[in-house]
Amino acid sequence: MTMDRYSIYAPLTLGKREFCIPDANEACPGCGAALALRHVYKALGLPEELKAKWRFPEKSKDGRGALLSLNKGRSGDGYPIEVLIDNEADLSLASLFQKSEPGTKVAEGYAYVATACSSYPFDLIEKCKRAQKSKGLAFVHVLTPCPVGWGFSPDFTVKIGLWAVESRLFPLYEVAKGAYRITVNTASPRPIVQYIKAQERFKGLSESEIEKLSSNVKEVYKNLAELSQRTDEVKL
Amino acid sequence: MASENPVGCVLLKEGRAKPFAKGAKPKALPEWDRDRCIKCGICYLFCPDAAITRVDEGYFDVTREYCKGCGICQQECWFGAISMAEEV
Repeated sequence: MTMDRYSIYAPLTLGKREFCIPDANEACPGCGAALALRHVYKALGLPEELKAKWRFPEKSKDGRGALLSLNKGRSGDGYPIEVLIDNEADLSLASLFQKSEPGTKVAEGYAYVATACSSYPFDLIEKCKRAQKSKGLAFVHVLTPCPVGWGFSPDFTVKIGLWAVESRLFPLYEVAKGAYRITVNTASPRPIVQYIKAQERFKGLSESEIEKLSSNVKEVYKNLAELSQRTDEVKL
Repeated sequence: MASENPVGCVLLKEGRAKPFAKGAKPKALPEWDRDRCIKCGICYLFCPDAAITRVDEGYFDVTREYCKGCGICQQECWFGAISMAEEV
């Protein structure tokens, strides 16, 4: 599930087959969305005709990110998997620090809801596979850093994603049949300041605002930790 | 209405990679120092464009046509075996 369960040579166990991502040629250097999609496709192995529906989040009309709706493989039982590629293009602080989508989907009665990040590829692949296995609607919310929109150097894409998770800003968890479980443990969280200072888009934030945000993040994480008491996987 | 007024950092231009389209020259290409490389494949795992492939003896190399020169592989390499070299 997490990186530490695999040895250092884990990348060699990945499937060799690469799927063609339409429009990936237009992605900027260091695109987190392209990285996430590569692993989503690797996990699900899509049939040809579904690939055409994908568009890059920069081009979506509302600027909220791209929603990828997929049927479950070729023989699927009809339920779609929704994969939200979220590059935080709307930039409102309220939605940044309290993602509403996973909670809404749980309330709507989805069988499997999970959050993932492009910096944790094995976690992402595992969650996509579990979404495919679940009997019912499934939703995976993927955070993908965007070097151009967020304002950092393209070689930092993976590091920024790691920091977002390590600072508990975007906790990785799954909700299988209503049971919460945190999949990536952040025992000693990284200070949020480091994540914020690394990006140009937060240039205007004052110290007091950052403090307010970090206390907000702590509160949200506390609520999540209270919900997710169990540590073992729920069988789907 | 929201689509008329760009909020925050919504990109009005399309991606910047157009100049680096298939076959064009990227800015810089990764180069492997084979004495330091332990063949773990972390560069292959984190390449967004799937440009890095396994070659002879389990080492890794870049496909020149697909690389955009982002430098994630250099940043993520555990042993600093990768350096980004300007293409001549």
